[in-house]
Amino acid sequence: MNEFDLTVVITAHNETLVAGPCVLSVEAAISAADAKGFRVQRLLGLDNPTREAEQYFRQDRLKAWEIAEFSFGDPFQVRNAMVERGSGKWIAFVDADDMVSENWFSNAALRLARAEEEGEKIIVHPELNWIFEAHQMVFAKTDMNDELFLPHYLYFANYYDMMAMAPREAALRIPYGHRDLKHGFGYQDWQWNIETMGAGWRHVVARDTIIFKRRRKNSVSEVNRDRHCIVRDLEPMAIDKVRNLGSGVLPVS
Amino acid sequence: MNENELDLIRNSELFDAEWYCGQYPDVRLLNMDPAEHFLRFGWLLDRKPSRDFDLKQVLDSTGTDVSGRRNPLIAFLKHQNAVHASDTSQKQLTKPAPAGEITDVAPNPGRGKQADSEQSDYQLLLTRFDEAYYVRRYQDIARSKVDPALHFLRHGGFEGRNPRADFDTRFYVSQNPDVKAEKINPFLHYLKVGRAEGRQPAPLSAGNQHFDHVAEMLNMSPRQLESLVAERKEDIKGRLLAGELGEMVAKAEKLDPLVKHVWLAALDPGISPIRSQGWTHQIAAMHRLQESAGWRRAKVAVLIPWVHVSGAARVAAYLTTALASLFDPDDIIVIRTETSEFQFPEWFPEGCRQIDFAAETQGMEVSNKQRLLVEFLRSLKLQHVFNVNSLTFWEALEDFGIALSKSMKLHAYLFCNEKNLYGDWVGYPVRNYHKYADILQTVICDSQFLADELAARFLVPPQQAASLRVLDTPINTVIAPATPVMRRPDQRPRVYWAGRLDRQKRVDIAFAIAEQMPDVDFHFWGKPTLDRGFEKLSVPENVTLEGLYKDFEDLPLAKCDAWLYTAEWDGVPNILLDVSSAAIPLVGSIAGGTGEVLVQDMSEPVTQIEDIDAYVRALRRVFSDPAGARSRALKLRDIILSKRSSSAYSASIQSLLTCEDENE
Repeated sequence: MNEFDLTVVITAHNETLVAGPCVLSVEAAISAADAKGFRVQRLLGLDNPTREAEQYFRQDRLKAWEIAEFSFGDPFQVRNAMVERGSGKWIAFVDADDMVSENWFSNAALRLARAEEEGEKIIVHPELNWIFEAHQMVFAKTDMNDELFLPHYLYFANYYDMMAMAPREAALRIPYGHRDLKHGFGYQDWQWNIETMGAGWRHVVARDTIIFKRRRKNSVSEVNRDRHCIVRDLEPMAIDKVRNLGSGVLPVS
Repeated sequence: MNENELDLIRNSELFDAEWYCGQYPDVRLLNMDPAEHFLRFGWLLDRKPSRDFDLKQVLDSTGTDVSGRRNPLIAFLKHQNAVHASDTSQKQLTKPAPAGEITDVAPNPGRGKQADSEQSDYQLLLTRFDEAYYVRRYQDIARSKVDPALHFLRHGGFEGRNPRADFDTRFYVSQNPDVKAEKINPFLHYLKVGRAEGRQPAPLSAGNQHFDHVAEMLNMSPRQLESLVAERKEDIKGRLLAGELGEMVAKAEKLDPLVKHVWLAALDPGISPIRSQGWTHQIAAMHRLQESAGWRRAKVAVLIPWVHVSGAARVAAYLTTALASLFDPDDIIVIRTETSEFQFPEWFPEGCRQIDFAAETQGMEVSNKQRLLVEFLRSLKLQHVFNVNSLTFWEALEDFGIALSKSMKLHAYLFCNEKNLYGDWVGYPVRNYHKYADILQTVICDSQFLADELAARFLVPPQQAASLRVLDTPINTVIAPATPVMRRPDQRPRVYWAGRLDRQKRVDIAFAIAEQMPDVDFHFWGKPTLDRGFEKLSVPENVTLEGLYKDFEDLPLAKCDAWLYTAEWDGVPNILLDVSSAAIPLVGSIAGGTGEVLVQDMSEPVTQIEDIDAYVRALRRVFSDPAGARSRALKLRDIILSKRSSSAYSASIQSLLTCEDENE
């Protein structure tokens, strides 16, 4: 039996004070999950941290968080490494400059628990993306079973984003792709969403939950956009397969 | 300068100092207060006070008096203040009773039925008016004490303000001239009759062809989709204003107040897949393109701008034909990217899939078009792409070339450069070779001349020189030697000329030659295509303009004594190949690749292309010794036909593909 139901991973590189609201929101959400009976593991993944970031995250106030350091220069490789390190049945990632709604972990965990009982393979996303600071935008995410789910959208936009709570098994079987900005490939979260869909995982949303995404000049998504990155060429998006993407959700074997 | 007016501008939400400085950099250079700059100079220069505020339109629609050279923003703000004061004083008129009937409206002196009508309009408006949105969107309303709905009813609707996020007042007025003409509040018009008549409330709604197509993809009617998106927005807004979502935002706001700055956007939440016009068009176009491709993969794509009379279109057809001998025709997909023109379908082998990309991307933003092309090509899971002058493809390489080259092998044809009006060299070879040679598997030139020029200019190293290939354009239909001209001494010789009547082809030189030879008849085929230089020329008396021909062999070749060619720059034009195949004596300019057909001793090449006398002398030589000219033309024919057969071309393509496979 797992010691933890959920592993929560905060990933950071050069974030310092901006991580304050992030950590506070995550801790509030962990408390809410704890109140619902979920046992939560706390991990902090630092990737090539700046000296300031290292000092920030090693402050006493954050000693409840187990820290691991890497030198990937790629937030998604940090995620892959943290999947190996984590021991929760489910895993959720938060970038150190984002915030989560207080109900995110608990609502998503309840959804995953229900799916487990019903034999569904699901990956959960917050219902709303609330983009703030450098840009202001709010958009809703769409459950793959929703009548508004359209695979062709995924050629041009990501229905979801990097905020997901997934069974650790899904993240182990389908690791994130590596960053390859030199060759014009980015958006590994978008790629991962398509790859997991292609492998039969259904992406759903947890009602009333929100990720507050702080958009900054050097955000990963801004870098991807500035460099005109695209998602790798993926088999599920082939002309003869795209229409079936999401329709062949497989039961847990 | 009036300090009160300056304060009025500074404090107005309609003036955005940051935007103003960014938009008009001279303000910072002058080190001036942006509000002062606008008050003193900006309005005189027709500058906007903020990005979204179209002062002129608002003044027109509100009838604000700006006579006497008043600063129009000041005039409008004063007008606004007067309106607000008036509406505030009548506030008791505007508040509806809970039962929905405005019973406590004080009599509006002199208005009578008009007041009754306003009451019912107000009631109707309240059923769909989004007060939270209106107040967030227009901060002058938030600051005033006016009833937002009443403001919209009386003023906002005529100022181009939106009553809710999904109704675009300016768009509605622009689409419905009757609304503008009748001076009706646009949103009330929509509620009363517009919706029932199927008029569009916003650009991205039922009635927009791409929106409608996405609805079809989702198996619902456009109206159903429109309603569903509206319902979803309302549901989210409802839960944000009074529900768990709202509680979550409130808690997050306590951790970081910046979260709250997003409220206006939150009142118009994006509902995928209907997020933007750009994406909606791309999604619909992608679906239609894949449908046209039969939902099947392909192995090779040939990209062309269009199919009309052009050398590149002919080469694309030869290339496709050669590929069809190497692949199953169904595995070949021909994509027209710039226009839908498909004048000569018979040039292309049967069984190839033809895709009209241009039709699906009309009106699409250029960058979206490039991205769509890249995604479409990737979805086909191609092995090879050949670009034969597709502008969209060349441009797409800028941002997506490296990524695309990881999915398929990219090949591009380069033909001759062009000269612009100033005589500067322009065109794909001069612009693109050095930029994209590294990601292109092969660069194909139609002339040795061009390949040599590129290799010399860029010091192409030996290992890369192999990717710079010259392919001799084939003569697909071998034309039998034309019957020699049997001209009586009293008959006038005939000279033929054919090509686009454009600057490149130097019709002016051909006309000058005709003027020097009044004893000769000249027949010209072609039409102006790329420029209008031809319109300025006067046609000599001995020149007959014959228009276009469909097949070279349909021309009265048995009456042609000599063929004249006068281009200033060129590759290896198809017309020279046709003429040499017909064994007609050829007199022409040496320009770029034309020397590969205009061979000395087998034709009459003219090296100084503006030397009119040289052409005249050459034509006279042909007329004086027709048998000798004919014999030399037959010799040229043999050489050209042996070098430029379809089988030799196919073999070159095959070796190009095989060579690449071996290199892997």
